[in-house]
Amino acid sequence: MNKYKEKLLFTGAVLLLLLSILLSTCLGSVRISFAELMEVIQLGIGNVATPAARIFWYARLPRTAACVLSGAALAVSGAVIQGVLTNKLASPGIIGVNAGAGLAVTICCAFGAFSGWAIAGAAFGGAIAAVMLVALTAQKIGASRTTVILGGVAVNSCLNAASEAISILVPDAGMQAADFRVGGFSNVAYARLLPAGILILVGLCVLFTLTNELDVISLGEDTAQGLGMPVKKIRTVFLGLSALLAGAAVSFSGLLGFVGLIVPHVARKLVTNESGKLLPFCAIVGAGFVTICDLLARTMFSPYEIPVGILMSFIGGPFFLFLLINRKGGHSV
Amino acid sequence: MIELKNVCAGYDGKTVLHDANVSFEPGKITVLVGPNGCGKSTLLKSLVRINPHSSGEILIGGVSIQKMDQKQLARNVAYLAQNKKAPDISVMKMVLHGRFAHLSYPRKYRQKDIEIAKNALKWAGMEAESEKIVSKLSGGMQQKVYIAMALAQDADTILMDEPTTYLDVVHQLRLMEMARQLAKAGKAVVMVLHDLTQALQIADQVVVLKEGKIIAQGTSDEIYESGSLQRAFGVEVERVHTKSGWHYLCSLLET
Repeated sequence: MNKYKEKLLFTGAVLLLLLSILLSTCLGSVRISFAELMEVIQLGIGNVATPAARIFWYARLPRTAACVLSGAALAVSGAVIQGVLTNKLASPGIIGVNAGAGLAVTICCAFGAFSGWAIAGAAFGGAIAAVMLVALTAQKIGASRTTVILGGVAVNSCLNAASEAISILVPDAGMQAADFRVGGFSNVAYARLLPAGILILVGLCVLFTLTNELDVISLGEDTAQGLGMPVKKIRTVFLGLSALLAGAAVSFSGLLGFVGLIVPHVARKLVTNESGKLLPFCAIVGAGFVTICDLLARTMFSPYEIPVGILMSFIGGPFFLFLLINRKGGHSV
Repeated sequence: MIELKNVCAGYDGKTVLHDANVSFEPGKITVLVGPNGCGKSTLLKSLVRINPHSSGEILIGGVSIQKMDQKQLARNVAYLAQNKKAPDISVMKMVLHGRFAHLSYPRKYRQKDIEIAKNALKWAGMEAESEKIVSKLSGGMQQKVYIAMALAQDADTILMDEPTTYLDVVHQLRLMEMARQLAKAGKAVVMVLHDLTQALQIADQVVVLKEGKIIAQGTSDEIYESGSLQRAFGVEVERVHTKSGWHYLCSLLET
């Protein structure tokens, strides 16, 4: 791909993201006009003197920020997991990372720990436990690329079943978990968003400095080791960081499926497989994709709102089938 | 020079290679031959710690590899795996990965790295393809890209595990030529090969393995004369002289 086309795509993606952010803050059950939005901004941060300002600061801004953060985190997490497991069908939702985070959050709610940091920490712990379980299983049995996915599906299923069981046994946790399982942003609050947001930004910044390592590990374990990479250590770092991103996103967005699958695929097709460009592009496209999906989910059937997770499953399910049908065997020399 | 002294190695708690004693010298091509599962790949992998040795000693220039971290090891030994991926990245980017062991965090390429990568591409005859995508090249070209990547690694020893697999005859012959040039440039080249004619024609030193043990090592003539190939493979080996050198013909032993 020539550099001009690449720049054009990056610029287009950034503009689309900015437009989606603008629309997301203005559109909804109550519309905020552009003039009102300017007025809110002029009033200053946190000034809620007008109804539009209250809607903006208490509902639209946290929701839009949540969409942007979760979209970027899940998309980058997906790209990293695909690279590390050298399997383009892997994603945090499919191999059980989201479900691990979901189970940990459900347990947290069952014990009455609702603080933002507790939820974010639990989600990260659950996500990393799930990803390590899948990676260790794959390593132990010398699993093929397909087996890793099947192992992930099994882990996913067990973790979701455990979440369901806790929800039934502890109804309070169940109430919290019902929205959580579908995935959505209707109840996002700053208290929950802030800790997770910090974790996501830190995770993204660290990953953007490790793109060379990601490219090398994507060449396969033997080649990477031969090039001088301590593969086991680096793989653990990557899986930890991708679990951090996915867990933090799941802690406030719930189980949003398929973002980590769809976006890296589209990004690879549009730009490149070189992680230095792929990861930032995934972050931009993922943020825009989730923001647009959330906007559609709350405006398509207005005044009713459907959880964005349902809309994403409608898009993601067929996309996954499409990938399976079009999947070519792994290239090897 | 690399020396293996009483090296045992394997994987998953299983010892595959037993008491290996052999050395690989600069400027020479060593070829490992033997039936499937005899420990050839394990021997190569033990040198770069993919299958770490469980006992014995591996020395590079007299220093034990246990005293080296993975990056130091990679600066001394380049390894071309048997199963290699053909990624959707440019040839130049791929060859630059060869500089991985020479960079420190956050791994920004210096002008020197780019120059070395360009020279490696030139050496492998892949200069014109530097902007092409690796996965879109033919198998032979991809193999050259991997060799260029190994050259960019700037190591004194190059290990190649079955490098001719999936290559047509022309690319196989070109690869052998390349191995010879590498040795001429002072590198120690160690290859696992299945084609006995190819192996015995190219090798300065042949190492024959059977059931995890080195049963013979020496020049091609010495190995042929010793009958170790018959013992290792359980086949009859005969050679005939042609204008391209000795050709080795195998046939099943009569029972």
